[in-house]
Amino acid sequence: MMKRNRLITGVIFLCVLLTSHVNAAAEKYPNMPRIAYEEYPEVDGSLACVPLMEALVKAVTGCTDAQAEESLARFSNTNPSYERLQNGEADLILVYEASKETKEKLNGLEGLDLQPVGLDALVFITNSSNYVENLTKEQIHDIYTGKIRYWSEVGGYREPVKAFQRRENSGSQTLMRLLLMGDEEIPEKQMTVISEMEGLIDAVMEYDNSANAIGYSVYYYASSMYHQDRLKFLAVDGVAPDRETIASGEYSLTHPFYCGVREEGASENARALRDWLISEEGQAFVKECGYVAANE
Amino acid sequence: MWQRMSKDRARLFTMCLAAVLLAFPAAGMTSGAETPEQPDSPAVKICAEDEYVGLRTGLYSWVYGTMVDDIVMLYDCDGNQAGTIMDSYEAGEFFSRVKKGRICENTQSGQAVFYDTDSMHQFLSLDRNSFTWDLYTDKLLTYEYATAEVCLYDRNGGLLVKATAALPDGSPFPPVHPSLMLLKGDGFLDMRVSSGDVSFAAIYYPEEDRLICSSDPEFPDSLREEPRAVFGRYYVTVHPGEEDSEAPDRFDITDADGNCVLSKVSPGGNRFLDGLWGTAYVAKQTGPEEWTVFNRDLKACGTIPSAEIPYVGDTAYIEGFSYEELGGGTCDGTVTYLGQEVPYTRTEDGIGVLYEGALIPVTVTENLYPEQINDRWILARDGKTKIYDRKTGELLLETDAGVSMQKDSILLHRDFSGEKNNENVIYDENMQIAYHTERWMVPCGPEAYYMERGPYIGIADKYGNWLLRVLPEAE
Repeated sequence: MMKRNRLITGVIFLCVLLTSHVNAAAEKYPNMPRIAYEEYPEVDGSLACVPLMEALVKAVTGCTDAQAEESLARFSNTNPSYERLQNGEADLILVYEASKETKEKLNGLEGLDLQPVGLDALVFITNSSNYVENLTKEQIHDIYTGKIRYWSEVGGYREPVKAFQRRENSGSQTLMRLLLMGDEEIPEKQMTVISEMEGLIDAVMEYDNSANAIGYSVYYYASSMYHQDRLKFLAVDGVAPDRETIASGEYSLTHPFYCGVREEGASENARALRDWLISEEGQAFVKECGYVAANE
Repeated sequence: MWQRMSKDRARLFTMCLAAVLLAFPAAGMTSGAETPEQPDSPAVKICAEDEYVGLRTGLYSWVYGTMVDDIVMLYDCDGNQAGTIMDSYEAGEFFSRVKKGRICENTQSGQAVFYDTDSMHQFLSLDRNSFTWDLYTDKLLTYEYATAEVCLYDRNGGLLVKATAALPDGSPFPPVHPSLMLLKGDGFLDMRVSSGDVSFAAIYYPEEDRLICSSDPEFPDSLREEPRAVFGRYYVTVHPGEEDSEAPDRFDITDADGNCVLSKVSPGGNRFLDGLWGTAYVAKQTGPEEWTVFNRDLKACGTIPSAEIPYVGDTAYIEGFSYEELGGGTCDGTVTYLGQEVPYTRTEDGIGVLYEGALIPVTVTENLYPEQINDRWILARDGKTKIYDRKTGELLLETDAGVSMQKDSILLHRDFSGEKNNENVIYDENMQIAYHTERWMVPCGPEAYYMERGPYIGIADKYGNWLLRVLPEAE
């Protein structure tokens, strides 16, 4: 009897030891869908959502890091991914707001079921040596319409402001138009650069590489991708962007990002993942991945 | 075993086994991203720490971040992001190795700050809009527009010499950009510029610490024409009859008194055209299919069958000629050693490869012509590509794929150019497959690989583990 009990205890201990290595996500998120890697939906979306999608596929399928990356090989960025979802090339997207042109092209995003899963912010970035720490929305608007031309007009040195913009297809450009500029034209800037082999040349550039530059991006991408020892985020209307001010709405230039499936013909797995992401458990997962969850 | 177990034990064993199996979710394996089970990989650095002295622990490569298209993100040798810099450096490839310092950052206060990107040392700060500049090897040359002042700085920002670039009437030379070439060896520095019909030269003699800037440089009057190059302490002029040729083939070597000491020489390959003041050898035809090679002291070094002079560094290792550096042996050709061309000679046991002054023995079979070696293997071709153990001469691998040898791994590559995906396979030091992918991959440094996987590009070790990765486009 004693020998038998010891045997049973030993086997149970072995099982506990082995099963303690069960997927950590499964323990933490018991309602998370479990999908085999081969059956994982075709995904697409905004580049700023890549880390979230990567974490999701690893947690849901238990795949390796390399497999998770490979599953994202066809990430085509914000606006193309809406199109791919609509035409069936993608089953599930994690995206920022579509541009006006994309919405028109896709007939108002007809047939797409989009739900907010997180919140991000449009942030403005300058060189850390720029004395200007804060701009109002009106000042930003005036910089980008060319009305403000020198940093001295907003409290800095008398140096020309070199304002750059992103490509029209990018999520941050869409946010810029949605939150600040509307359909107003953002003039391209002409500047002179010195090239070592060609002497002085004139070039039309969409950016400047000097300390007088100001640019913009989305908070999650800019804060996680770039080391900030020489760059800084500007406060807008007196509020600096960080996780707390974005979540609370105190920083005003915020906008949700979405998880989308097709209204009809969505795969079961895609819909299950989307529904889970907007659930309380899924939102905790979004937050754990470093994003501001939509329900915060 | 089952028969010997009691029923109770068998039932208990089965239950536990089932519980274990159910506890582990199925993890599907797909092709394309399979990484074979790998041993614990020792930490792989992108570069040795003592290779660079940088802002942090050491800098290897910079990657374009894309908040703006030219934010340079700097990484240390461990792949950790070390900093960012907004620069005016010419756009380069992703993960280009930071090698020659030409980063110039325009600060808000109106200064141009120069960084030597070998060390990321900020070595000079100048008034931004008043000059143009060029940096070559370890010298920086600036030309001040307003004063026509030409300054030469060392890599620490120390002013070496200054001169005035003025036209014959004393006025500053027109604001054009100088092209800068710095000779090795004799250390001549030539700044040749032209503006319209005016030609201008600046020559620096380091030994004499003399910089001559003039539209009428001090060339001997006896020279038939302005020299095209300097060869040691001699001048190179075009051979009579070829003055009007756009690409002359024959030149004369002339001394300071204007005497022709060697006529109808050829620069050998494109050495003259690459850097007029940088050539170290010339060849003169001395037979129907024989050219004699002369060095800068005009000493004959050997003969070659054509005007193409094979260079290894500054030395021409001519096949068939004996060299003290090769243990008195004859140069039998050159082989690539970790990306560098080095000469080799045949020995009793195989070949001896000259690398950093030492003759490295390599065992190969007879009549095999080596192309690449490293510390473990030798690559040779005789129709097929063959990899041999360098010490034993054992044939380890035979392939028709393209091969790149790193320090401890080999990349086999097949490029199907759109017909289907590429095939890249990495073998580790034990000739086991370490990683394979159909995506783009090329060697990077002695131990790492540039590659892409998913939406990322970056630098990885031979097992495909990222050392650093980035998303190549901005949001």
